[in-house]
Amino acid sequence: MPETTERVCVPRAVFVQYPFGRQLGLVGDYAGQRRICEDMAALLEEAQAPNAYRHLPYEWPEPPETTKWRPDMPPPIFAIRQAKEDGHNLLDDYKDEERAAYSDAER
Amino acid sequence: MPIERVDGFYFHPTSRERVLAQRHADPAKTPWTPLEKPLAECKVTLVSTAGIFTKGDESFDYERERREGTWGDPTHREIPRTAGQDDVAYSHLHVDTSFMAEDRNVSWPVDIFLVFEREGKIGALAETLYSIMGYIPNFNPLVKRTAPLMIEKMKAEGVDAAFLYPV
Repeated sequence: MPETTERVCVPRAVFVQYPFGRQLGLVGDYAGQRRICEDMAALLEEAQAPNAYRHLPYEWPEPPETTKWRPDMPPPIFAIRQAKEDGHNLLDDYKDEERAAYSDAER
Repeated sequence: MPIERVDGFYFHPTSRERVLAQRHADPAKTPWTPLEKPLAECKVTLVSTAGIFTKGDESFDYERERREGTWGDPTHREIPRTAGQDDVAYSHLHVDTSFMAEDRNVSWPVDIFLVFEREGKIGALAETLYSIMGYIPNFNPLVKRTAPLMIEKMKAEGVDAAFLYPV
């Protein structure tokens, strides 16, 4: 997702509009999977400065409405989110008790 | 019509508001390590966020995530390059990993990189590959503990570059 990746400022990234879990292509599509790996390799060799991002032109063959990427059983956060559709900010609930344990000061 | 700019919300539109509310890091502070030799001379490794672990190895801690849905296992697993398609489990709770179980190269292109090695496109694929489980709201231990452990191992194996495959 470029919207996330650019937010955390990774040095290099290649973006493709494929579904979660199949970012390189369909099952058995070796040529298509390889093409994206080659695009990644090319960026690694060619990028000269940080924030080097490339958007690939490839289109997924199925419409998003019928493309399966969610697991059959929703993840635990799904039920929590549904129960808090009142605008409650879930970030407030994120347990980051390790933050202090792994603070820069202790490194 | 070819895509000019990828829409990250194309398959998951309900995440738009949540993602766009996140703070933006400073692009001026993005780290940078130049590639200092041709890829054909580099040893490379792969990192997946698909919750991959070698069968017989310890699973990611999904019991705790089921108890505390806003927590995710921040540890990593090391996977030997010799592990085959069915020697590992693909275990992410948030993404359908059944496609990877059929053909790992949909998101974990070990076979493609083994071909790259044979063709001389890369110098070598490292002995050890890596996976984390990509749902980690509690990211501090990932950044402060797990990532340094992976980097230490990569350096010990002489790795020049890592290809990260978010699932």
